[in-house]
This record gives sequence, structure tokens and C-alpha cells, in this order.
Amino acid sequence: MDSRYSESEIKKLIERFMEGDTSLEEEHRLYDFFTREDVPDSLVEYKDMFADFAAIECGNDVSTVAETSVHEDGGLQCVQTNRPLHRISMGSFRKWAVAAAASIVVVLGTSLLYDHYEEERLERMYGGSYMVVNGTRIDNLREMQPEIENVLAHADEIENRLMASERIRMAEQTVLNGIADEAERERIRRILDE
Amino acid sequence: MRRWVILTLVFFGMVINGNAQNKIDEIVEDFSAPGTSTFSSVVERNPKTRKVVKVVKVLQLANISGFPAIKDAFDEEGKNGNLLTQTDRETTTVTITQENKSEIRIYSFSYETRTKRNGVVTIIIKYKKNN
Repeated sequence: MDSRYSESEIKKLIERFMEGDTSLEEEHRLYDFFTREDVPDSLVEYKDMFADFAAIECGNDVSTVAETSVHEDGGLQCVQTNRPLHRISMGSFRKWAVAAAASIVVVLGTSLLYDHYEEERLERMYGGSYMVVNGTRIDNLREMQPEIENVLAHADEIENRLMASERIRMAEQTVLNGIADEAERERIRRILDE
Repeated sequence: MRRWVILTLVFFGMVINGNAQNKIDEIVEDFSAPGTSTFSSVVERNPKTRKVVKVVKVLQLANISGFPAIKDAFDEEGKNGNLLTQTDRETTTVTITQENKSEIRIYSFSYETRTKRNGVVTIIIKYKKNN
């Protein structure tokens, strides 16, 4: 037991520490007390807590790594090592994190913009189109896009077939109009209609 | 007074709209909702003006239940336009073309010649450019 402090005095200091009434000097006294080996059994439960506080206090200089050790006289000693903190690596980690976050934002933003542009384009070209598949209505133009293309291709096919039929009909009519003999014209017409 | 004018306009609008639909349009609408068909209505627009250039409706029927009604509608409407029937061993296609000053309507009905199954009804409405 440290002769400089009585057990009752330390208990009072702990109470005041808990209330936040201790001065810096008193707090250091507590840290010193609890870093010694001969802490009485009744106060052992506080040892770890005050050792942690002491370490925090010791580490206030954040440019280098701070370590606590026990001085020759049994008191707490704060040792500042020359090892730099991992600030550089944390800094580069932050840079990477920021770059990654920025990349994600750019990719997401581009994707959202593209989606918006594509929806606008489809709406301009095919707005009002819809499908009913087995009783379920679909209005989503992106979902429908392959079907829209199929339907329009099918429509073009019908229109082209009709145009071809119309050309054939007109050509046949021209041929028939050129036949003066009525019986022959009727015979040819029957052949063409077969 | 204003209310009567509006009601009259709405009434005439509905009558005109009703007349624009023929038997084939009606029957395609009737068959588009049930669960055994696939119906697509595609509106093609001029991307610059957003004006409707063409409307294409395609009804695919898997079974033959609708066949007689659709055939009847095509026979009926064939009287009001150019009717063209093409038949080969596999497929029969009936096509009707109707034209007025604002639009060209093409109705097509294709089905398997022998089984009268797998019918596809296509309606193409092309709007004329001066409208």
C-alpha cells in the first residue's frame, strides 16, 4: 500500500472523481495510486478503470505513440515513443475510401442518368404502349421493349406483304387491260385467280 | 347554358369515337383481357413532336374459342374495305384495308389452315401526315 495515501483518502477521491469534482492534480494522484502493485483488495476493482484513464491521459500527444510504464519509484510514467502514429496509413486509407465512394457515386449517378434518359427516350417514341399477358397488364416500356420491336417488325411485314400484293394486282390488271379479246381476257383472268 | 354545350360536345365526342371502332376493334378488345391471350398495343410516335405515327395492336390467341367470332367480324368488315385472303397448306391470312382522309387501317387475321388454332389478329392504324 502506498504510504502517501490512506485508503479512506483514496475512497474519497474516487467518490469526488465520480462526481467530476476532482482537480487534475487529484486525478493524477489517483492514476499514480492505481498503477502501483500494492492496491488494497477493497480498491482492486477500480485498478483497471484508472489504468485506462491514465493511458488516455498519457496519449494526449497524438503525433507519436504514447505508452504508460511504471517508474522506478512505483509511480506512473508516461513514455512518448518516436514511433509515429498510423496516421499516414489511415490518411491513405481515407484517400482510398473517398476515391472509392466517389467512384461509386459517379457510377450510380451515371447509371441513374442513363436510366432516366432511356425512359424519356422510350416515352417519346412509344408512350402509351402497353401489353396484357394472361390477364396482367404491363406498362413498363423498358420491360416491353423487345415486344414493341417484335410488334413493329410484324406490322412492317404485313404492310410490305400488302404492298407486294397490291403491285401484283395492278400488274395483272395492266396485263388484262391489254387483252382486246373478251373471251381470252376472261380465260387469262381465271388462270391468274387460280 | 355552358354546361349544356359541354355535355353536347362530350356526347358527340363519344358518338364519333364509338363510330371509329368497328367490329374487329371491339372483338380484339373483348379478347385482350382474358387469361388465355397475349395482347400488345404499341404506339409509335415521332420522337421530335411526340405525335402518334402508328398504332399497332396484336392479339395472340392460343385456343380456338375465339375463332368463329373473329372470323365473323372479318367477314363483316371485309365489306367495308379491300379484302385479301391468302391460303396455303399451313397458314390462312385474311387482310382488310380501310382508308379515310385521316388514317389507313389494316386488319390482319392469320391462323393455322387445318386446325384453325394459334390465331393472330393484327390491327395497324397509320395516321396520315397532314393530320
